[in-house]
Amino acid sequence: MDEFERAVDEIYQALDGKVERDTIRRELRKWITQFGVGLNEAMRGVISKYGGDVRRASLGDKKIADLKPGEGRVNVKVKVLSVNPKEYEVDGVRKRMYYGMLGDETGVIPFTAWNLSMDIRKGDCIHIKNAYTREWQGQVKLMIGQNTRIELLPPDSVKVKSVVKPAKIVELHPRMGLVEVLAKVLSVEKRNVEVDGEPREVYSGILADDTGEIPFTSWDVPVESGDVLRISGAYVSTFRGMPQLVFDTRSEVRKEDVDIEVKEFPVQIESLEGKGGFNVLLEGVIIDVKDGSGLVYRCPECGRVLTGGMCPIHGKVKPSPDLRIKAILDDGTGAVMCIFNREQTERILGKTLDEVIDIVKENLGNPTVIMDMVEDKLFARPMRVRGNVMNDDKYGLRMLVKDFELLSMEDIAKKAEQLLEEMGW
Amino acid sequence: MAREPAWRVFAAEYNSAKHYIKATEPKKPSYVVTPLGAKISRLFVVGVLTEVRVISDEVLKARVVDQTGAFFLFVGKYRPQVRQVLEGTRVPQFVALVGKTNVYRPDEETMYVSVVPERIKVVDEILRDYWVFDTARKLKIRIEAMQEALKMSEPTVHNLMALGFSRKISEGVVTAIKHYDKIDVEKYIEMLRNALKHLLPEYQEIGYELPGVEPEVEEQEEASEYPSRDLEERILEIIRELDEGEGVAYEAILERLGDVDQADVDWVVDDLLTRKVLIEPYIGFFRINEKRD
Repeated sequence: MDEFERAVDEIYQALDGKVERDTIRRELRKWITQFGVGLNEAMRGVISKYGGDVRRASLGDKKIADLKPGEGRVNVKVKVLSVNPKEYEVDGVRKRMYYGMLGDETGVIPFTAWNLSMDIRKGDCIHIKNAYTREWQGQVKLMIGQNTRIELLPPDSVKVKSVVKPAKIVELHPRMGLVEVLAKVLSVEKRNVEVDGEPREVYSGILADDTGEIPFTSWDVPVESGDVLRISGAYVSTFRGMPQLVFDTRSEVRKEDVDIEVKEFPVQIESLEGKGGFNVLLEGVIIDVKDGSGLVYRCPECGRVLTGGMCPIHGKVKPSPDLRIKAILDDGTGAVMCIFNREQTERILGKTLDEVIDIVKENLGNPTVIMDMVEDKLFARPMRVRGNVMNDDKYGLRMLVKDFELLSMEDIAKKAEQLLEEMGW
Repeated sequence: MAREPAWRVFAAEYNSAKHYIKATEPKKPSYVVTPLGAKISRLFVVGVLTEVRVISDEVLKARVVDQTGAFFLFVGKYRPQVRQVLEGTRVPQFVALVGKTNVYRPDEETMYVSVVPERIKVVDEILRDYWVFDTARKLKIRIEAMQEALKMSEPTVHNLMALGFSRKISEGVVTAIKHYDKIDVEKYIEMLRNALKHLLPEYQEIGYELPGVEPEVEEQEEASEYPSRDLEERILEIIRELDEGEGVAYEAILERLGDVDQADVDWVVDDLLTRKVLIEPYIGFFRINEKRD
């Protein structure tokens, strides 16, 4: 629907349907084309001419679908689809902002509020006046600032068109609204729970497509392992610092009679920034090994690494030796701190924990000799790692490595030839 | 905060950068923006170390080359590990390094870029080939993004991302278009083709050769300049004799050797450390490396 048709529709609503749309259309066009009156003025005039209440038309209001980046003085009537507080610090002062999604009958839009003149909750219908827009990660975002006013509208006075965005699993992001994915159920588990006295069925497991994997939760929609599902109207939430797909009986879930390839394909680290990822495969080069890698001593009670033989919780304890590596993997698009456990560190060093302890003894108890060995083995080494990547707004991305593989560099010539062929030599 | 990625770019692209974005706050990164839109604050480079020059006790300069040109390395006093490796490595040698961008602007018009290495290591030729391939495929993506952007009447991050380019690449390309008058994409396509051809054995035969390390030349230099194998043997013998488990002090070695040039001793000890015949468990103490493979 274009802007003109929407204006006709609004006048029709404001006149309680007492005047035919065709009449309104003719009249409005006349005001605009013959008399050169602006759209808002024309709407106002038409409503008033047929005895309607001018205040009922949302003059000057825009629709979400029409918003472009860089607009000022934006007025919209929207429904709050989600709202989340976020704490941040400026010069040592803690402040709070809000972000979330808003919707109207034309679409949905993410918003950021530096300032809220009133509390808003999920489900509220509100009239936002004097907001502005910005470009954010390639989409339009509504900004609520110091001079923005918010008024509460009657409940359910704004209908939301659910714009469902088709997406690959690697693209799923908690702020993208409703999505559609085509994915295979790799595993699933069913639980029965009670929510507000109502018995509900929860199916949780893992979905995959040719770009990656994601955990999911289905409320009351039965799901079976091995199914290929087209899930439309699901949304992405954050669970333990990683994205998760959530859907329920309001979503459309169709079983497709196809098999899809679930492919091993390293994702770009940049695509994980700000959200993390579940069981992702990364390919890059180790560009830094952090202090505290190699031989460490842990508290036998809680597993914390001891400093000066003391556990911060349990005090003086019998130190339990362990191996671990904290190293930065970088693929040219971003970087992840990878944490390798004892068994993996033994594989990298080609030495067992006992052998490592002996080497440290030979070097008069100086564990930096092991750190040097780790650096020597890993720095500049290309590798693939797999595991869950957690996002932390302060420290960035972190992976507990589930598995790793030192990259074979044997067939570089063949790969170069393929790339040249793609370019037509 | 996300950590800044270590960009992979060829030397010629990096050195042609004329746009610099200086950090506005402490602890925020500064960026060098290349004509193809690589917005760089950190790089990962694998190439051939061809020259190391000690400028002063605090400053050391070096060159690492790929097939398109040279990265200029600038090492200050805060990176003893880097200085130690550079001083202890005889050129030419394959090295891998991670470093921060650095610029020198003598006047408004001119800008020279260099790299301040954070970490450096001697590596194999095969890793250099991997780097050339990895850098080439990343260059290809930036060429494609730039070609698309130049087709647009008004290139925006929004429009580039809609085509599937990542945010960092889209932002870099839009910034480059704003600051460079004429962007010669053809030149970079040629650079990409040559880089890939360098990796093919049949092309290497007809002269597309990557900068390499020629071992024969190295041997000759060694014979004429290296203090002597004899001195090396004497030092190793002294260490074997005196070591009671905690290494032998540098002074003790000097004392035992008697009348020799200290600079020669340094050279030999550094060389033995680089070849990992010796290890240095504490600063100034040396031991035979039993674990050498």
